[in-house]
Order: sequence, then C-alpha cells, then structure tokens
Amino acid sequence: MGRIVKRARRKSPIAFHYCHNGELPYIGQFPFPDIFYRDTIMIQNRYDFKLGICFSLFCLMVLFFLIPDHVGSFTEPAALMPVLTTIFILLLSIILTIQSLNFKMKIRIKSEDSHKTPTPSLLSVMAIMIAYSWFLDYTGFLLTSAIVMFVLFWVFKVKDLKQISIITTVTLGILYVSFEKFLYAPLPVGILIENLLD
Amino acid sequence: MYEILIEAASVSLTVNNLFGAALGIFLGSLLGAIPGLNGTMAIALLIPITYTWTPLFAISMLVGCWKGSVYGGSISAILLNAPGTPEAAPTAIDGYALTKQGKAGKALKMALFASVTAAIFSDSLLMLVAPPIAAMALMFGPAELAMLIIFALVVVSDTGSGSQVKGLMSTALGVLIATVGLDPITTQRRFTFGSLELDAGIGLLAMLIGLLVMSEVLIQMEEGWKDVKSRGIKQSTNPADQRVSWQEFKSCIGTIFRSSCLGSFCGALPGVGSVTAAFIGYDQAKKMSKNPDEFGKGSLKGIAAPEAANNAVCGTSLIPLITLGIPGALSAAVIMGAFMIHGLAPGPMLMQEHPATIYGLFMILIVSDFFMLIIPLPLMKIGQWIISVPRSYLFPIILILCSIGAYGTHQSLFEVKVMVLFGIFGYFLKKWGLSPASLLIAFILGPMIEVYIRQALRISGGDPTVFVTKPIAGFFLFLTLLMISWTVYKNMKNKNSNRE
Amino acid sequence: MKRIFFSMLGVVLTLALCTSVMAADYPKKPIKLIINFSAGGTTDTAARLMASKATEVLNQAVICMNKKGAGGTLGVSEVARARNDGYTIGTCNMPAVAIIPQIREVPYKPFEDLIQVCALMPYEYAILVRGDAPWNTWEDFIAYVKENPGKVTYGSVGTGTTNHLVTARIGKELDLDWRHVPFQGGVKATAALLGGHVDVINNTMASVVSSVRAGKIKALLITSENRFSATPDVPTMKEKGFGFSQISYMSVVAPAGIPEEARKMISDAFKVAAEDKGVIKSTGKLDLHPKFMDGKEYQTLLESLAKEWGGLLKELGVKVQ
Repeated sequence: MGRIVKRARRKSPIAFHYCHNGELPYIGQFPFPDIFYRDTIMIQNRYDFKLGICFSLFCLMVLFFLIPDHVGSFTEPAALMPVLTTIFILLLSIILTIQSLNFKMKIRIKSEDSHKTPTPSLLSVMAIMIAYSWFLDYTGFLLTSAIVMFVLFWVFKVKDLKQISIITTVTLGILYVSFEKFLYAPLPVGILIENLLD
Repeated sequence: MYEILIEAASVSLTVNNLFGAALGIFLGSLLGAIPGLNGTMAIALLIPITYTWTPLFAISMLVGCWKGSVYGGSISAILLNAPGTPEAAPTAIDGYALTKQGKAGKALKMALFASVTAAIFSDSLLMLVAPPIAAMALMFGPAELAMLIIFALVVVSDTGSGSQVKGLMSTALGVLIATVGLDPITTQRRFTFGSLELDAGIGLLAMLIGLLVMSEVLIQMEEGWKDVKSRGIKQSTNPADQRVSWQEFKSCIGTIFRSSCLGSFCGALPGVGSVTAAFIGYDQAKKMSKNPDEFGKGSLKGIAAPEAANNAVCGTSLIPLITLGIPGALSAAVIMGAFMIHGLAPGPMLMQEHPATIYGLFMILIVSDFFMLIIPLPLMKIGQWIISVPRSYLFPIILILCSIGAYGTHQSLFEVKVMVLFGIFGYFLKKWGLSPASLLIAFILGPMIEVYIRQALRISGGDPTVFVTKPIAGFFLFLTLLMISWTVYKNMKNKNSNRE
Repeated sequence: MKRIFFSMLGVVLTLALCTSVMAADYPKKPIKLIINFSAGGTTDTAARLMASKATEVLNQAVICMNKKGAGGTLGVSEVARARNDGYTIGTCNMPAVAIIPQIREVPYKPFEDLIQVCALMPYEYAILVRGDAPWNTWEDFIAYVKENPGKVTYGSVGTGTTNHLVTARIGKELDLDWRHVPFQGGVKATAALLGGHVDVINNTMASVVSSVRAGKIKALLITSENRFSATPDVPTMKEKGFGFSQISYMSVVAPAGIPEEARKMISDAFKVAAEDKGVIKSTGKLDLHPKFMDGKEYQTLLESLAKEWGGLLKELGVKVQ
C-alpha cells in the first residue's frame, strides 16, 4: 500500500502533504497505520474544492462589502494592506480550487470513518463554550464556570457525581484563591449577581 | 570593579533572592505547563503584588517566572499538543510526535537541556557584551526592521504545513486578521464593527489560547470520541526512551548553538520577540539538516532548535532594557514595570547609579539558569502522569482554564469571547488542512511589516529605494530573494527528478 | 437529575460563601480603580503608588485593575459604563476625553457620562534630540529646519496624541516643512531617536530622563507648562513665545452621577495621597511630579482644551471620521 500512496504524492504534492495536526505524514510507520493516509487524501481533497470556493466567496465579500464599509476606499493607505492580503488569499483559493479539480484520485477506497461532519457532542461543546462566554458577563465567573463544568462533564459522560463535585470545587477554588486572595485581581462577578448582592 | 562584584554578590546571592528566583521558575513553569494559562499573564498579575518586596527579590522572581514559563510552555506542547505559550508552538510539532511514539520523557528532557544551554548562552552575552549589542540593536530602524521581518516571514511561512498553497493561505489569513483594530499610522478604524474593544485589535494571547489549545481539545475530542474515556497515550517503559543520552545531546549541539545565536539576536531587537525566534530556529534546523524528512516525525533537533531559540530571547531582551530603557520583548516590557515600581528607572544611567543591583541581577540570572535544570523535574513527572489521565476528566478543566487564561492578562471578558471564537475557528482550520501556527506567526509579523514599511516610507519622504540603499535593509532583502529563489530552484529540481 | 442539581448547588454555595460582603457607610466595600494604561508604565506606577496611600486614608482597599488600549479610551469607557455608586473609578488622560472623541466615535460622551473627580499629576513633555545632534538650543534647531525644508523628520507616540498635535502645531505656527512619523508608543519612538532614524521626537520626560542624564538625549524645549526639574536650563514653550502648551494630567474619573459624598471622599483621599511625602519621594525617583487639582477646575480646563484642539484637528492632518 505504501507504494501507491507514494505515487499519489508525486502526482499531487498539494493534496497529500497535510494531515490536520500540522504533522507531516509518516508513511506506514508507527503510530499511523496506512489506512489513516487513505482517508487523509480523500478528505483533504474533498475539502480543498469546497475550501477554495468558500474562501473565494469570502474574499469577494471582504473586498466589496467589508472593506468599503469598515475600512475605507481602496485608495486610502489604511486600506492598502487589507486589500492586498485579500486579493492574495483570493488568488490562492482560486489556485486551490483548480488544483483540487485537476487531481485525479488513483485510490478509491470507501472511507468508513465519520470524519465528514463534526459529531453532535462536539457541536454541543462548541455551543456550550459560546454560551459560557456570553453568560460570563451576567452571572460571573464562579457560578457560570461551575455550571459549565457540570454540563461539560455530563457531555463527556462522566457520571460519578462525587468526583465531579470534587474536581469542580477544587479547580474553581484554586483559581478563586489565587486570583482574589493572592494576586488581588478580582474575578468578574457578573451584572446579575452584582445587582442581587446589593 | 572587584568591590562592585563582591558587593553585588553579597546583596544578590542571599537565601531570600535565590528563593525568589526558584519560586518564580516554579510558578512560571507550572503556569506555562498548564494549557490555557501562561507566563505573561502570571508576570502581569504578579507585578502589583511585588510592591512591598525588595527590588532584587521582586525582579529575580519575575525574571525566574518568565524563564520558567518559556520552558513550561513546551511541557504542554509536547504532552498534549496544546502549547501553553505562543513560543512553544513549533516545539509541539516534533514534541508531540515523540509523545505519540511513547517517548515523552526524552522530548521533555531534550527541551529542558536545550533551554538551559541557550539561557546560559544568552545571559553570558547580557553580562559580557551588553553595550555593543545594544548599539547594534539601535541600528535597526523601520526600514531595516521591515526587511528583517519580511525575511523572517518568508522563512517561517512553510512551517507546520506541507502544502505551499495552504501554508501561504494560512499566512495571509493571519495578516488579514491582524489588520483588525486601529490603523497603526492614521488611527483609522479597520473591521472594528462598532466595538470599542476591537479598536485595540484582537488580543494575541486570547487568540493563541483559542487557536492552539481550545481547538486541540476539540480535535482530540473528535478523534478519540468513541473511546473518550479510554486512558491517554501509553508511554514506553524502556528507560532509554525517557532520557537523553550524551550522544543524542551532542548531535544537537550545533543546532542549539545556532538557535541560541538566533534567539539572542531576536531578543536584542525591540519588538521582534521570542515567537519569531522559535519559528526561525525550527526552520533553520530543518533547512540545515542533512535529512529534513525527519522533522515532524519526532526529531530531537526539531525540539532542541525552537526551545533553544525562545529561551535565548530572555537574557538578551534585557540588554536594551538595561542599557537604553527599551524592552526587547513583551515580558521584558512588563518586567520594566517592576524596575520602575522599585524606583529603578531603566536606561543608560541604571548601570552607573545602581551597579550593585544590576550585577546582582546578572548573578541571579546565571544561578537561576542552573535552578532551571532541577525545578521543572517534578513537573515533568506530574505531566507524564497527566497524559495517562482519561481525557474526559481533563478536557472540561482545560476548557475552563482556557477561559480564565484569556481573561487574566487584560482582565477582560471580551477576550474570553475572542478565545472561544478562535477555538472553533482553529478547529475548522485544522480540519481544512490550514495551519494555525502559520496563521499565528503571520498575525504577529504581518502588522509589523505594514507599520515598518509605512514608517520607513514616511521617513524617506515616499522614496522606496531606502530598502535597498540602507546596507542592513539591503542585506536582508538580498537574503529574502536568495531564499525565495533557492526554494523555487529546489522545487523545480524535485519536479524534474520526479518526472524521470 | 435531582442529584446533579443538589451537588451543583453545593458547589455554588461553597464558592458563594467566599464572597460575602460587610455593611457600613461609604466606602463599605473595596473601590475599583481602572487604570487606562498597561501595568508597569508611568501612569500605572504613579496611580498605584497613590492608590495605596488612598487606601490608608479611606480605610478601605482601592483595588487597581489595568484596562489598556486604544489611546486610553478602553479603560475610560469601562468607567463610563460602570454603576455610579462610587465603587468604580478610573484614571484618565487628556486625549481620551478631549481629543479622541472628536476623531472617532466612542461609546461615551466625555463630558456628560463622566465627571472628573480630581487631577493628580501633570505629564511632562519635551522636544528631544540625540545627544550628539549639532543643535544645542531651540533656535539652532529651528534655523536648521528652515534651511533644510522637507529633510527633518519628527517622531511622535502615535497619530492624534498630544505629542503629535503639539509638535504639528509648532510646525504650523513657525511654518516649518518637516515630516511626521508616528510610532507605536514612546518606547519605539525613543529607540528610533537613539538609532538616528528620526531627527527629533516629542515624548514624556519621565521615560527618557535616564538617557538625558547620561547625555544620550538632549531636551531642546519643554512643551508642558513648567520647567523640568532634571533639566532646569531648558526653556518652556511659553518662554519661547508660543500661546499654547501640551497639557495633560493623569486624573481620576467616575461615572456621572456618583453620590456627592463619595466624590468628595475620593477626591480628599487622593489629595492626601498626591501631597504625601512618601508618595512624592517614590514618584520623584522616577521623575514624576504629582500635583493636585480640583476636579471641577480640571473639567473646565478640559472643555477649553477640547475646543482648542478640536478646531485644529483637520488642519493638522488628522483624519476625522
């Protein structure tokens, strides 16, 4: 299998090189089994096309809507850098789109992995974190973090309530003591709590 | 001279001050090692409480804290692929690869030895040749800095990403994101969308924590979702895999030396900083190596190079601070505050007015380098235990720490929102095959290029030839062109050999 | 589910116990002082020194927080947004209320949402050149600029700062042909001056005084109102016949409508702090010179400064959005 992969690499260095952690592939050796690479090739290739299109659209939006509205006209010195960078990204994404079309996949192995879309639990963690950052303004650090930690543990399927309570109390307790008592740097109390306290 | 040295030794090498340095190193490496927290935050938060302490105790603790955190960042980078500090980002590439192979101990120790060697090198420069280095640093005006930074950006643009198109895309995205905020020259608003917080731009630390730490949690969650409760990565029990042999260290000495020189150089230049040093250090090791294919798969040189470079920054960034009152790095700027609070106005008179304090500080610095060899050892043990903790227990804690880390430095809840958004953005970047590390370094360097070029043009009255006619600027421009043509030549050669 | 709820409640209660509040008259709880510059700068150092003295006077902690960025407006806007119960105050510089709101929109009305409690310390500025520069007096320098139109560059700590505006106005009044180069803060401007990349800068004296004493930097003209203690021979702008000077104080601001009793107590406490011998001695080591001014007086001064500079902004080449 290793040989076929290597041939694919010669045809298109772009599609092959990257697997998502910034590590270069390590063909056929520990710790990655061969199958990992087949998936990577297919996924990266499929993403590349969409990525190229999406980024092109994004760049056009930046160029024609965001920059005129939020920076200034193209001739101003302040707009020069954003305009040049956006045009550069636009060119790159067009190249990426074309490359992904040219790449004829030699290996067609059905990917059984569920890498296509983020899992529901992943999406829920994202949603929890967004909600957390928003609620911090209102309910303060300690209360919000305690609730969020409980919810996160629940999402992560840790069921032992005694353990959860201990971990939460200890973590937040250490943070509270070190910020408020040792560093004299107040943690946010939150608008709602502030009103309640008075 | 001797009297001064003896006096310096007697005021500096007291149990109290050494304890301060040790405590600083411990706190720094602890905070650096915890993903989401970092040393700059620790120093910024510590400064106010150092009031009541004696100047040497306070400053040695802060400097220790800084040194510790620069090393500590590599612990979480190596063990969890979640760099605790921005300058540890390139360390993660090879460090985490080694952890996956079960050799976390080897990676951690290599990072430590490289860090300590470079720190000693840089501190010796600070003690012995501070004035000429400071004079050299001043020769870099806007035109020279612009060309230097462009060179740096070209050098590092392919770090951490195999595809050239995507590497360049990540870089350009970083530059674009960095334009958010007030225009540095005319103070016009750019992409601030009516938010006053965005006037100051996107916070580097918040963005870093999101891009490198939170996104890594999301990625690892997805990868190991089916067995998220399973234990972490198994480590090899062979002792040879958990230590660095003299042979291995010797093979890296050349790399460490080159990186130390690079790091010291970057430290002395105001504003260039340790992140740039670490990335260039990694890249030079890769380019100079006889077998660059090793890099990314757990090369020891790939750990030694960035770690040596980022630690070498600490010592020399005190050079412009002490000799001219100009801090060379972000943390040095914060430490300048500690000097000021204690009535030591940094500048050329410092050496003449308080020689005993300054030489005392140098002595503490050197001694604390040796402390660095011992103090982080227990942390390593804890760290190695932590990678065996089930991720389902670890991740909620890390996510909370990320938010407090983003909040801490500027004590602003807005930064938490920035962190979360960049965490999610970073997850998608990684999925799309774009490199968050390239984006981050471009985010740091991009605005510098813009500012320095525009300043240089203002100084020259709009005449672009300054970039060629000024010798240093011209030299770096030449190097940049050489670099690009070399890369193009190598690519052509590769293509030809592939066709055959 | 019930168990989850109760264990969560347990955790929250444990943590909530840590934040109990006592009851008494003002100030019955710690006062938050938002410093609108970064930790370790001159503003921060002076403010913290005075805050610790004020803590003793008020018998209640004054807790300092740094909220830097965007020319000081971020910190000031946080104060303007805070509740006007007297427990949130902040430091403020002149441009954040008198100049920047006229250049770009800010989310506070500088003279309606904020009141100046008191002014504590004038910043002291000067026109500086390198120690080995051929000019020893202001007249020498002006003669040189006039002989070499378009050749001289002056650095400032940023566009729209008092440093920029005052220097530009000097240029306009004397009809000088020189170029402005904005830097990101005083540190970079000083580095560029020392390296000879710009000919002259306008910066705070306190940040360069060590270099001045060492002879690496010369002051040609003090642009603030009074002569500077470390350079008693250098004339001020007024002495050279200019009708304006670079006036900016570090002041204490509070959200509009705080109780009069609270305002007075804070003002009195900081008055004691600014005039305290210990504070003067420690700030003196850094060449900072606190000088108390009543809030109402300073507010009037600010309003006149806002008018004075506002009219000039466009002429001086600052883009007004």
